[in-house]
Amino acid sequence: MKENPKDALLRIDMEAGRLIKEGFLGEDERPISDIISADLDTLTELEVSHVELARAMRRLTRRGMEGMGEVVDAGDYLVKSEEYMGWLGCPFKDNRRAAKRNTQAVDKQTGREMRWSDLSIHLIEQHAFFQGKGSAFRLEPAELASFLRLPAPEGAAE
Amino acid sequence: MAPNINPLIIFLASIITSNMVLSNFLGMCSYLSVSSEYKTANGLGMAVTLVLVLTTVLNWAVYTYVILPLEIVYLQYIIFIMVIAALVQILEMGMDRYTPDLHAKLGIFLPLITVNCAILGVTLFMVIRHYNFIQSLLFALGSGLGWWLAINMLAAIREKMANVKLPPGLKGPGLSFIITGIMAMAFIGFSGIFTIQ
Amino acid sequence: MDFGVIIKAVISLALISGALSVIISISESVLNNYGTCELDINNGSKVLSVKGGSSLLSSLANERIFIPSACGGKATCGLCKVAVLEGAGPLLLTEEPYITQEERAQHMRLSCQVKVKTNMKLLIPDELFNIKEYICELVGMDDMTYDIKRLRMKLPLGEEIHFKAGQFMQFYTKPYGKVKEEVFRAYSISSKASEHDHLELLIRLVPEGICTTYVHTALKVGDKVRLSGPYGDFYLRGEGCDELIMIAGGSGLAPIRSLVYDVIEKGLPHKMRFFFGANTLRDLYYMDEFAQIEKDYPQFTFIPCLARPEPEDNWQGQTGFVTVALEEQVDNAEKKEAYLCGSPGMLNACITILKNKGFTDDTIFFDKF
Repeated sequence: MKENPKDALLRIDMEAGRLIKEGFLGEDERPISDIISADLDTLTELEVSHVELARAMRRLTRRGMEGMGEVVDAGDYLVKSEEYMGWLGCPFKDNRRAAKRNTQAVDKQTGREMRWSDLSIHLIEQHAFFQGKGSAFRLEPAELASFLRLPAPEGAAE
Repeated sequence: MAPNINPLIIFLASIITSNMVLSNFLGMCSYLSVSSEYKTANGLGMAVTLVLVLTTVLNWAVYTYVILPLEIVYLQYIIFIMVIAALVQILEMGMDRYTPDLHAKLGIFLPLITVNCAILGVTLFMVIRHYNFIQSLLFALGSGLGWWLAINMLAAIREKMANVKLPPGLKGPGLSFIITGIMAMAFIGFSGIFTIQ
Repeated sequence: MDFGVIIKAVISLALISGALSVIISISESVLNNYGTCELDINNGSKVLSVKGGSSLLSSLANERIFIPSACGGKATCGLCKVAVLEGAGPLLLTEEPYITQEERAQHMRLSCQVKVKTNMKLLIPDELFNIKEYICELVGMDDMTYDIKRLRMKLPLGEEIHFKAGQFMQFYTKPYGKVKEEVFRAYSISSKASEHDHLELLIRLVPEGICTTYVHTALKVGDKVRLSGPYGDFYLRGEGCDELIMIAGGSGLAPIRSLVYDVIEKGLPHKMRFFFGANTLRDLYYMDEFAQIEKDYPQFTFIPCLARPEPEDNWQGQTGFVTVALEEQVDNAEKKEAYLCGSPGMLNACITILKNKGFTDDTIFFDKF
């Protein structure tokens, strides 16, 4: 199927070396709207929304920020947020900027580790964009959801 | 010889009963890929209508005054496509210069239109059916408006359905095809009023 | 197969495509040729004649007027706003998210998206005319810490830069690796404002950073580097205040160093306290230099804070986050101004503490990039 012209313009800015060094797409050659809708399908099956995921990620990042670069104990996870000066513009051109902040979270029980940037959170929350396959910051929705223990089991207290 | 059909009938029929998308299944590609958002779909519809009218008029002239006298009908496909591509390019430059607001709205769609099969389709129908100038003009205008109507309807429905829970297999193109099919049946229901071919 | 038919087909195709390309090139030269357009800046105080057809941002850059921008024309930063009173045409889709209703009333536009097609009337703030482009030679590159490099650059012979201590420059990379085009990022000047023929920047490696990776891996001493500047409104105010509270982390030390030297060299009476936050001993740098200034000029106090000193570091100084030291050592905001430079999280934490102590938006200064 032909690429929506808006997607085509977006793809140019998402390529490596345009806004960020490695780009947002990795080796993914699908149209951006297909990447988004495929990931949304996965989320629908899991019965969790991208906004919920992003909020959980932001909660962990906030905890991490309290440590200012040190590892923080955030209940089920150990988190570390590292910050750099400056910010990145969102490739969807929505006038949102994300601080250059990388969060690394380790699940205490399983030892699993995931990392994301503030821009990843914004892309997931506002655009349901988990980045292209092969991108350094690609987050698999299913992995992310299970890592964040979402959806919360029935009857579990918030 | 041009067929003896009232051009107005051609106009109305090409909007509804002989709709480019819904009865001829032409221009499906952009119809499906650019219909997820009403605003964008509307822009593309407008651009297609504009380009369709201009290219058909131009191709009619090329066919009547160049291809027929030179007896090179077997080259018509190549020539038509070249004319379409050239026209779209000039149109984009002209819009950028004289109607920047229109260019801001339609500019990104123009390159996509060059390869829209509805555009070539209308030109070829015009040739096959031996339409005269007025008939061709109204046929192109009608087809453009029909395509515009169809993509707007699909986009509006898809926007409404964006939050509906669907079985995985129906997502995306699957459901769009079903919607298109139902729309096509509804449109063909008008065939008692006026039909061409 | 009739040979004549082939000849005829080839000739007629060639003629038709030739005719079409002639038509296209004629219309291109007519339609894409906007001729010379006049840019009237600040009600006639400057009139430029530029060739029409390219973006306002690049047309102005060709005329040596540099509008601050962070993305270089990709409409993702929204910084290159310029008031265009006439000749810009309607607001484009790409501009819409970045221009507020208020700014629309002031005719603000993104200069990277607006094309110069006719004569235009612009308003450009005076301070932007001081911004120039410099092709410098990299004469020194030292590791200050494991991830911060100091770049020392020599301006071309005969050229001088005049900047206010605390301002920043934009540093342009050359294409490298996967980066196919020039990109640029902003870095604060760390050298003395009294030094007009050299510039120093402190650049910390950002993982996956597009510009810092270039500096840390591809750049070599002797290379030519392109800079533009000075930009920014982070500079010394100091009026009606006795003490300057300076807070920095990491490469945020750069503008503070420049500020400290500025106060000293101008013989200003202000007391200065410089809180420098770092995680471990290996993140500290310029320690000897600041210790020396402290010794020579009693008005200056240097307070390095280590969040997590290792036992073997034998750290005698302030321990804990820089916020802890601030909380303990700054009593009130009376006749004080605060100058901050660092990562956003650290800035926010410090600003909260300062505001609790009575500092206001008018007495707290920091760079927003």
